[in-house]
Amino acid sequence: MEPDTLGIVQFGLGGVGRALIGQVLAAGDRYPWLRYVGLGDRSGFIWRPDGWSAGELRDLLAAKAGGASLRQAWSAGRQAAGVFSQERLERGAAIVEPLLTTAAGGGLTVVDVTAERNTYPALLAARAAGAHLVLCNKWPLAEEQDRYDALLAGGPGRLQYETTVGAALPVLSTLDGLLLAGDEVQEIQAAISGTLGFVTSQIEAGQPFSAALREAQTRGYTEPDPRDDLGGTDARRKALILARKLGLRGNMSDITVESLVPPGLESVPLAQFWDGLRSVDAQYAARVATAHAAGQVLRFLALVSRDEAQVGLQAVPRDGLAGSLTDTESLFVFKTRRYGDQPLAVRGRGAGAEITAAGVLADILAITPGRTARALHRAGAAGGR
Amino acid sequence: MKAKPTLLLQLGLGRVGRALVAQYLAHGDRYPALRYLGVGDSSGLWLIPDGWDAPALAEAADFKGSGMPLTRWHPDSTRAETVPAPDAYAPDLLWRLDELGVRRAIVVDATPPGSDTTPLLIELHRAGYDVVLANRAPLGGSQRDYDALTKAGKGRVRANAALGAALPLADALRHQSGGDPIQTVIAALDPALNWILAAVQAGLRFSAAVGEAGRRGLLHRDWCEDLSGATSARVALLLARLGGLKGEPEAVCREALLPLGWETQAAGAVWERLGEYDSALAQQAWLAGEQGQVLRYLAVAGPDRVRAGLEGMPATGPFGRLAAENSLVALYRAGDARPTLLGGPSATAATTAAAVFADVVSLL
Repeated sequence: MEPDTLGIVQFGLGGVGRALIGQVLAAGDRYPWLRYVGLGDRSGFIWRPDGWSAGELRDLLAAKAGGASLRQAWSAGRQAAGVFSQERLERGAAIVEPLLTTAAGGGLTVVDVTAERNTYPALLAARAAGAHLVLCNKWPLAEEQDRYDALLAGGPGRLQYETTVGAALPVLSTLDGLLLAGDEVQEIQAAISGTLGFVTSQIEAGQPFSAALREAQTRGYTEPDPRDDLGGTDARRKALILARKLGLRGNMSDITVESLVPPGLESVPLAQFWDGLRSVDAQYAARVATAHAAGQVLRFLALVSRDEAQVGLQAVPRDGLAGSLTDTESLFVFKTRRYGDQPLAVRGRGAGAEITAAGVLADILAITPGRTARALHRAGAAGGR
Repeated sequence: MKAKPTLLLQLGLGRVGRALVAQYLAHGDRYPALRYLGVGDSSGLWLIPDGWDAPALAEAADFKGSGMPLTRWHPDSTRAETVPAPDAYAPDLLWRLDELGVRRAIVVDATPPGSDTTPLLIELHRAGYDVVLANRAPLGGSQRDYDALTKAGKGRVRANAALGAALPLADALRHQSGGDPIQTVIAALDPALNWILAAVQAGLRFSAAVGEAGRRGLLHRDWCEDLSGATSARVALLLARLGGLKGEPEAVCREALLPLGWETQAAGAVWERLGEYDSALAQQAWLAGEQGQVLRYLAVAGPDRVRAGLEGMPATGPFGRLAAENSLVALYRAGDARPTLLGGPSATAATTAAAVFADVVSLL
C-alpha cells in the first residue's frame, strides 16, 4: 500500500539539492503527494512535520542562491522551531526519530544529496525506523563492509542510489536487470570520471597535461583542489559501489587506484602544485605518443569484477568504445555471459546538477510506483521499471 | 509461513518463449514463489493451476521446439487443462481462469506481432493481472487500447523487452518522470534492417542482403512486414506515446525499405521483383557516402516528427559506426546536442527473454 503523502527529508542544499527542490516544485501539480518535511545543510537542519509551502521553498532557494546558509535563510522573520545543529544531525537518531513519528501518512524518504561523510548515522537510524533512502552521496555506500552491510540490511524501506554511479545514466538499474535475470556479469569497464575523461581527451589532442587540467578547472569540471580528481578518490568510490553490486566483499582500500597526482605534490600548497605539474607534461606526452604508435589512446578507466577492481590510465584501441569518448562523456561497458562478444554499453553525459537531480527525483518516485504511473499516464508520459 | 505462489501465464512458445522457459528453469530456484500456471502457442494453451513442475515445462518447450503444435503434447498432471485457440486468446479466458480458482497472475506476451492478444491482455489487466510484454504490438495499436493497457489499475505493466529488446531503454527513460525529460529518441533497433543496410553499405546487393538476412534467421516468416519497417514504426509510436503523444498508429510516418506500392503485393511477387530495387538502393547508399554519411533505418520520436525510415547519418558518428549485428539508441534532452547512448548486440531470443525475466521478477 503506497502512502498518501511521501515526506521528503533532504540532506544537502548544494547544486544538486537546489536543482532537486526546483524540480519537485516544477512538478508539484503532477506529483502532489511529495512534500518536503526536512531540510539540512552544513549550518544545520530544519524539520517541519506539516511541510514546507512552495512559496517558502522558493524563498529558501533564492536565499541559498544569494549565499545564505539554511539557518540564516530560515531565521529571517520565521519561527525557529525544529532547528537542529549539525552535531545533532551526526548523532542520527536524535533528529530522524521525531520526523518519523510525525510524518503524516507514514511515508518518509530521506534523500542524501550531500558529498559529506557524516550522514551515515542519520541514514542508518532513518532506515531502521522504516524510512526509504535515496542516495546521491557515495560515501555511505563506500563505508567499511560491515557498515555497508548494516545499511543495506538496515530496514524495510527502499534503498535507491542510481545516481551515485553515472549520475543520469541508467547504470545500476541496468546492472540490476542483468543480475535479476541470472546473467553473469564478468567485467564492467567504465570511464567514470568526467574530469579525467576531459583531461585525457585534451592530452590526446596535443595539449600538455598541466594545461589540460588548467582548462578543466577553468570550465568548472574539477574540484577546487584538482588533486581530489587526480587522486581518483571519487572514481574509487564508484568502482567500489559497482564491485559490491557484483558481489565483491571489500573496502576502499581494496580498490587499486593509479593516482595522477605527481609524487611529491600530494600535499604542497596549491600554487606550488600547479607550478610543479608542468614537470610531468613531457612524461604524459610520451605515454600518449607510445599509445598512438600502437593505434591506441589513453583513457582513465575502471575495470570492475566481483573479484577485484582497479582504476587508472589505460591505453585502449582508438576506434573502440572507450577510445572514441570525447569531452566529459562517461561510459559503462557490461561484459556478460549472455551478451557474449558484443557487450552492452551505456554512454553519455554522466554529470551535471540538473540531470543528476532528475535522476534523484526518479529514484524518489520509484518509491511510489503506482501513483507515479497514474500521474504519468494522466500527463501522457511514462517512466520505466 | 510459506509465501503464496505467484503464477506465470506465458503466451507464446517461439524462440523467445522457449528461451524464457530455459531461463526460468536455470534460475527459477532463486525465485521459489514463482510458478508456471500455463504456456501457450498458436494452437492453444495448457494450464496446470497448481503449477508446472520443471520436467513438464522442459518437455513442453522441447516438444514445441521440434516444430509440433503445443496442444498435441499432453502433460502427466491430471489437473492439466487445454484451451485450444482461438478461445485461448479470447477475453473470456479470464472466466476460464476464474473457474480454475486463479484470480491473479503475471501474464507474459511472447507471441509474434501478428497475434491478436490485445483484447485478452486488456481484460486480464483490468482484472488485476500483471502484464509483461515482449511483443510490441499490444502497445502499438489504437490509442484506446494503449490507454486501457497502460492505465495503472490493479495490475501492473512492464515492457522493457518490448521497448528496448536487449538495451535498457526503459531504464534510461525513467528520467521522463523526473525533471529532465528526454525530448527526442533515435533508435536503430531492428536487427534485420540494421544488418541488411550494413551489408548494402558494404557493397552487397539489396536482394542478396535480404536473402542472407533470411538465412541468418533475422527475418520473420512474414519478411515483407520486416521490410515494411513495421517494427521500427511500432518503436517510434511507443516512444512517442511515452513522450506524451496521443495518436493512432497512422501518426507515424513510415517509409518501407521497399519501393512505393510493393508492400501491398504478395510476398512471392515481391521476392521475384526484389532485384529491381538493388540499383536504386545502392545509388542512395553511394550518394550518402559521398556526403560522409551512411544509410540507417531508424525509428525517430521527437516533438516535430515521429517516423520510421531511411536516414543518412554521419559516418563518423555513433550510428555511422554501428556494426551490422548491433543496435543503438540515442536519447536527446532539450538543448543538449550530446545524447545518452545505449548500444549493444541486436536482440536475440536469449537477451529478449532475459529482459522479460527481469521484468517478471521485478513484479514479485
